[in-house]
Amino acid sequence: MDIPFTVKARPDTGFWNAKIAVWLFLASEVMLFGGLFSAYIFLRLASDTPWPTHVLDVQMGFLNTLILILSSITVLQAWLSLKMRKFRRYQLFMAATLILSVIFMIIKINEYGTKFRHYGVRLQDGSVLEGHLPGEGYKIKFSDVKSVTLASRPNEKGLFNITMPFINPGSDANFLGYMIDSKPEFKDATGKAVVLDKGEIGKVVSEARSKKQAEIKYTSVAPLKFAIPPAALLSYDGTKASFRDGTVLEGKLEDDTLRLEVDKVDLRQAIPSGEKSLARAYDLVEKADAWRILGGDWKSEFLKLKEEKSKAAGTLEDTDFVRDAFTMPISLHHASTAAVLSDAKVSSKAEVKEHTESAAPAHEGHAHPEVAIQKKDIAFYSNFTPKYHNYYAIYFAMTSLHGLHIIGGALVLAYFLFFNGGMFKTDPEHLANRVEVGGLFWHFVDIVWMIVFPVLYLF
Amino acid sequence: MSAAITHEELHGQAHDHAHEAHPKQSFIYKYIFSTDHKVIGIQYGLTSLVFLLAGFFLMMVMRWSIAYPDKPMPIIGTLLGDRWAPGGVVSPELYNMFGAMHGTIMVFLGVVPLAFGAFGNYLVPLQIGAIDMAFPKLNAWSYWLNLIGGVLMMMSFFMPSGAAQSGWTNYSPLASTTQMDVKDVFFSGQTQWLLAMVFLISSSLLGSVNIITTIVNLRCKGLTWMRMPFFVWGMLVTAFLLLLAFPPLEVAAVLQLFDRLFGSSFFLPTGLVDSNRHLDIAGGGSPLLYQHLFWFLAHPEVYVLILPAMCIVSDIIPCNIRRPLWGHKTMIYAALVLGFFSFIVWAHHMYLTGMGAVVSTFFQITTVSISVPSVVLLTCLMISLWGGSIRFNSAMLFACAFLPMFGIGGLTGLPLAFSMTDLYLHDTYYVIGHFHYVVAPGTIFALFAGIYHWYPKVTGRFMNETLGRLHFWPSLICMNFLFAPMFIQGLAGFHRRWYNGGMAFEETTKHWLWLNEVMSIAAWGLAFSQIPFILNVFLSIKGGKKVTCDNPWHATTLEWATPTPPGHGNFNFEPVVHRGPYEYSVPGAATDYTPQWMADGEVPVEKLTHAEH
Repeated sequence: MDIPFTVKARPDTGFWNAKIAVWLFLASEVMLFGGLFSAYIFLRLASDTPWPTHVLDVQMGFLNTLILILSSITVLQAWLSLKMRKFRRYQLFMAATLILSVIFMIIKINEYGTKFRHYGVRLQDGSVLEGHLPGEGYKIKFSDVKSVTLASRPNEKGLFNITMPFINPGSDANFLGYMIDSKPEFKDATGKAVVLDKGEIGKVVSEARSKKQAEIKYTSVAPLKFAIPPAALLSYDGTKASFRDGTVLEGKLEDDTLRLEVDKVDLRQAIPSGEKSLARAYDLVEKADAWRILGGDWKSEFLKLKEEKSKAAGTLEDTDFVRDAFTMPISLHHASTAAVLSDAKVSSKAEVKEHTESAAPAHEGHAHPEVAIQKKDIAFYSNFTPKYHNYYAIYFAMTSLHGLHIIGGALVLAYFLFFNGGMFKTDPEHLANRVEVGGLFWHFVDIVWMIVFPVLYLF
Repeated sequence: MSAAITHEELHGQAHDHAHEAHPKQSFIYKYIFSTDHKVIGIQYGLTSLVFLLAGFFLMMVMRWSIAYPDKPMPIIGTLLGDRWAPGGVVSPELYNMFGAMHGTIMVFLGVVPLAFGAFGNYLVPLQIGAIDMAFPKLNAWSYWLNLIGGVLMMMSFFMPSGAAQSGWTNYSPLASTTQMDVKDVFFSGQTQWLLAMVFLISSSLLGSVNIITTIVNLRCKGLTWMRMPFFVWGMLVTAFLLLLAFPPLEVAAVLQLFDRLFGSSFFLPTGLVDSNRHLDIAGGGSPLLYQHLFWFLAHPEVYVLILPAMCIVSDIIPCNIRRPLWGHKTMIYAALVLGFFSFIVWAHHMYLTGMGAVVSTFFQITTVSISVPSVVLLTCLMISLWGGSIRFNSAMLFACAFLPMFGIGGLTGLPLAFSMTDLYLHDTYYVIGHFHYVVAPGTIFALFAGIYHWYPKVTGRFMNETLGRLHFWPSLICMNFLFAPMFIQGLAGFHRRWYNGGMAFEETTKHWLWLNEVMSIAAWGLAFSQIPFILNVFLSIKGGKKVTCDNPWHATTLEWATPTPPGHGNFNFEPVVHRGPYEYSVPGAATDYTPQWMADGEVPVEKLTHAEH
């Protein structure tokens, strides 16, 4: 029993089955990406903060566009080769398509990587400092920790008192990994000495959970020190750090300053959105928190920039002008600034270190001043991931979905190349049809990129 | 056009292999991982019936809380667990959780898989004379993805946070910010809801592509477009709705996953405060965007719920009145118009969001317009009854009850279509009454009718008529006692999400609070009236009256030309269609039905055949 019209077209409709299916599938895909592009338009129109533009590497993006166009040509040639019954030629062109898709993904992954390493810090007045975290990154440091309370969260249960067995809602041993320079030696409530490790904590927590005891308290034998990445914490204050898993440390908050190698200052958000007067706007940004942290020399740099810009008669309605006039790159290799900068002058809060940037090749050879930003000065900070701004969020959403389509398409084409070769001898037309369907999908993914590229990279 | 195609051209390929010996399939491939559209249809059917029961169970617990707030629920209360029902009293959190999951399960796991997955899969290839779906493996994938989505959805009840609690609409910002202070946001019910939805959406995408391709390319010889039964047409339109409307919901689900897992602010506005603290988010997003993406799916979804019901009824009515369907072509065009319009009415769910008067007016006009094709469909079915000699078997009883019940559901929608009256009625019990009349005594009655009608074809035995009546009359009465009072309460201003049914606002609700008890008793009564049905379905497999011919209802469409039950490959002969689908009581014909596969002059013979494979 075989399904009809898998290879030959039905005479009255003029299609074989898979060709109808792939066009239907593409229609559905149009709605999917249509939804995403509508979301983009909606978010950009409704945005109440400056929309980041020209923040991606256009050259690499353009290169990726060319790569995809080229791969569309090669996949077409692969199909043509099958139609001409030239198997060798088909294999070559199909392999070329796959290689191109791999290059595309490598460029994409590299682009993603730079976003994860780049941070932005919005201060309380809205001025923004951008840059990289030096050394080991941002850590909340606690010292003199004498008490650790594990949580078992006995009340976090599913329906009918059943909870998925692989989920432990209470404390795990992760907090031990953030401990520095000391040993996990504790005394429990009865005064018995214990060394906490993964096995011990797992046992104790599950026992407490079954006894409906919410907390297990330990006192440390010697004061402990912790350096905790903020993502692991639900909240903290001067004496207490609460982890997401319910574990609470009691001790002294030693340091929660964020150190940043600043490469850009962005003052646009310090201006209220209703502000129309350029003079008042400059007045506001001169008092911006950013200068308190960066130091007076950078402010005078900015004032010089302002003199230059005020000749070009711009208005606050012209977003290009606003972007030029209220943002400034910060780099110690600016001929004029490098000379006047000294450790003491740059920041009242922290010393400036000459630091050569290696993470981002674009900045190679430049150095950026390192500043320390107090927690109370920070309104919001993040690396350039979806959290930072809806532009990055939609960028990641669109490009990751597009990337998944590339991976999916490449896997299907690879399957045709590596596992369907035998079909060339038995039923070459069927193989050609399969490649045609795969190629149609590949062209669609290419077209999506040709819309993604201008939307995210150019506008 | 297709008349010009020769027999060989159409079915040459299929025919070559049609009589090859088949190796005996192992049980697991024949019944579990089957690629046969009929087995998959039955799998869809059984799974979705189980989910319907599960969704109904949630509602019965909720109805207790509404009727007897803060009183311990007998038996079930203690089973629910201390966290959710301390001392057996249904907590507000539990009520919210069950409310959200009731809607989700009923719509996405109950009615749609039953209507489109089960009936569509089983009947569409049979009615067009095809040997199977165009892509049998894809069909199996579609079922298994649906099951994975369903299992994920049910697993979320057993997450430490419990299942989703933000309504079946899952509106942001609530849905993006709740259950966020847990240890692992990924393993929260709210996140799992989104993941499960991604699976369900993928499943319905595969299913709809398959159904459309099958209908377009696998119609048998002579089955021109206008000779297709309305059932197939309705399924075609439904498949297009699923195909084109679901992707925006997938976008909404993916973006909300981003919001929950990666901290983005797609649906979170600037300055959002939760529990007296500013959320650590960038802001700048829009809750309205979520609603647009959601309702762009969810309104066409309403027609995905109702069109298959119309399909089923449009087959059962002509068969049981021995008259052609009145206005077959009109109904086809109406369904097409309905399908098109269903894409441009979604924002009538959002009048209250302050979209602006112009936008509201646009959607008000389209919404009122869409009632025209709906009324055309219902009127055609209604007029068909006129002058017929009606055979009231269980299937026909349910089909007949569908008409007025769906009518009530549809007409009560009109006040909701007008932005002015909707401002008052929005989110009240009036809305609940409206769409439950459409879906419960509407669609679900039609689905019951379908099960009674096609059961003999699937099993070779009839369902018991006495049990059928014991199922029908109590169900009809209970449904009406359950949903009609909702209109009264809604007009009195009862809000749909009160866990205590309005007890907290006694000064304004006191006149109609007593209805809560009436409705709850009706709900539990409805549960009891399903017992005859469940017994009937299972007992009739072995104990039902055997059919004596392949076409026990003397129907005209192609599925009755197959052996009973149809085997792998469906037909024992090459089906060729000679006429339209509803040729009942043709003057001068030998019998009061002239099946589609009968050539002129041929007389239908009553015989029972068995599948060759």
